[in-house]
Amino acid sequence: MKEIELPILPISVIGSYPKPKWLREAIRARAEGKIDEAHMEEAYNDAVSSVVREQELLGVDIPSDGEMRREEMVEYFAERIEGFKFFGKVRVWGNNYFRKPGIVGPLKWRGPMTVEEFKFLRSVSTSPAVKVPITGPYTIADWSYIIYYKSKEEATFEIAKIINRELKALEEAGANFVQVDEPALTTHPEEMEWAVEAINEAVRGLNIKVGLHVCYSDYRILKPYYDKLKVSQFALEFANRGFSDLEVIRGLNVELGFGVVDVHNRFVESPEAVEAAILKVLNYVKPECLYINPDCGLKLLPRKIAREKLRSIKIGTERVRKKLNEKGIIKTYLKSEVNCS
Amino acid sequence: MKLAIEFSGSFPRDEAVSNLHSLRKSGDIDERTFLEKIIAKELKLVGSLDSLGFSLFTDGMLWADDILNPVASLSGAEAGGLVRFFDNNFFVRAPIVKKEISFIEGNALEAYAKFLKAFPEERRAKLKAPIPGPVTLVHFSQNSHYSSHAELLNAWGKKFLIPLVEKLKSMGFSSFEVHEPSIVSKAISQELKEEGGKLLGEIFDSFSGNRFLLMTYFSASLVDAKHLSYAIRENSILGIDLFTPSGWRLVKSLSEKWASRIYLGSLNSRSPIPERSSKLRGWVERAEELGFSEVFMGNNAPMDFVPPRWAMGKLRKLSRSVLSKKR
Repeated sequence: MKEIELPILPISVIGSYPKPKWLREAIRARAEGKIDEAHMEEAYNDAVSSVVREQELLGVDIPSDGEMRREEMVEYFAERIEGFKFFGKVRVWGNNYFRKPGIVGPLKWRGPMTVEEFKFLRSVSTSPAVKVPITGPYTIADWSYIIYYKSKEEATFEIAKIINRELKALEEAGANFVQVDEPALTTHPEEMEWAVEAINEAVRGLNIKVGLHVCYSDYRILKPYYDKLKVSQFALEFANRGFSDLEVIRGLNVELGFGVVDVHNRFVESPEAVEAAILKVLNYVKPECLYINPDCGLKLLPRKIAREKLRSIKIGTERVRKKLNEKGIIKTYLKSEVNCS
Repeated sequence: MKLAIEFSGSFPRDEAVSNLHSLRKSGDIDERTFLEKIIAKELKLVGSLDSLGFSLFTDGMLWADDILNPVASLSGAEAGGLVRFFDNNFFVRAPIVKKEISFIEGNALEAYAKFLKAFPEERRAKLKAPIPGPVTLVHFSQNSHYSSHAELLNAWGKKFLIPLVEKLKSMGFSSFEVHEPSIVSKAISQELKEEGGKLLGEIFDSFSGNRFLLMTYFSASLVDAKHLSYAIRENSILGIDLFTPSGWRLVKSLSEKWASRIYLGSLNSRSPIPERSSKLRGWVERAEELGFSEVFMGNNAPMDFVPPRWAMGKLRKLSRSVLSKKR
């Protein structure tokens, strides 16, 4: 993979971004049959153009398409992989739901699920690198009812094969940074061994940058697997937990995507708070191995709040960059293999 | 053997209930209107349960986000960040304990009070008030005030739960449901579990005329039998999750030494697939063989993990399967 030059402490997002109000209205109209597929596609493209531009203007170095075409991270893939059936909405926290799928038949890859998303994102972004998030095999299995397969393990490895085909299709299309989202990874500590194997199966044979996002989890359970997971970045959530327990990232030999704003709280963190958090984590991670991002996807926030949070990230990060620049630390590189030991 | 069916904890929110929460959050309806509308939904739910033959039930907790959610408004603890509720894709806000815990008459009492008032007086004995257990409160607390888990446990039990139960009792509740999954969790030390069991026993002793269902779920081990035995009283019933590998072994062990009554968590709240009638009936027979004098069958845990339609389907199946057996 060709290395891409980035400013030190590159700012990225985890993936999702609040959908514009008009897009939500268009999705509703489409469901009611009031607009056709072509108009819907145009609306999605316009929304992606808009939120990508917004991220770039707010200082995001590696934008995503905001997952404008996705309703929910498991739903999106369950709708496109053969073998799933939806049972209905299940609550995740507060008043937030997802449509819970069940695996009721043999799983099959029907064809690329995210390649067109990537191509459009690439065509509208002016940034040298963009990120494509994709839900990992373990989380898709864990958040589904397992009915057809004898075990969750068997289902997870079937999904891993499908995700691997998808990631290879993305690589072939020119993607250079994919992020496997595995928020469920540490949920069942006794399943970690094979869950890690399944993730490695999903990313096997890739020559592009692969990140792993794990959030709202017990990172002490993840820690023993830092070196076993074949990824070059861990994007972890820390603002939600008040930046406590940073000790858990000691021993991480790849990059850290550091969550500096809470995405489930409308309180906007100040640039000073972001700066302080970054300075704190720099006691554990080399600046060349540190990326800055929100804790998780921003989609549940009002768009205005999401913007303000990104603005705080930009100002806070710039302040630290300035200090690093004075020491001659100016840039870093996006690459598939890193050594951060 | 006396056999009854019982609904415990929360019933999943349907879209209409979810919309009410959204309207309250956005300020489009006030708290009073929200509670009035929620209670109308709860009355409909318990009406269904009543007609299905459930002898005891909660209000379905449609007004609360989760079992820990009312704690912040009633204890002075702050609502913290989201934390996973055991091994589920379900998150709760951890109580942040920065000062002395004390019971305060917060907003959440309104929901209990208004529901009670709306429910026909002659059937109030069927209602249970769900509350979290002390070990679970310690497990989920982010504590920076108390110097040890033992102190924190004692504070949650004596400074919060006892006055809360007293208050709920004065409002008209006579049955309580203590959600205590942490007392069987592998994440909790044996020492804390033992202290927790003893504290629960003390709490139950303080209210000898009232019924307490001690709900445990998501885990079970024979090691826990001793801790749980401390909480067995004339007025308490243990709830065991039969969908954990050692669920039945624990039930058997309790029957041999300590318990004559049992609540069997017989509906798997984490799967939409209805349990087979033959399986449910078989469990009743097994409990009878173990010599229990009273058996209550119900959901193993809060039902938020399956969509409402499937949850109701399971409850109906339990009614059909078990009550026909009773006849």
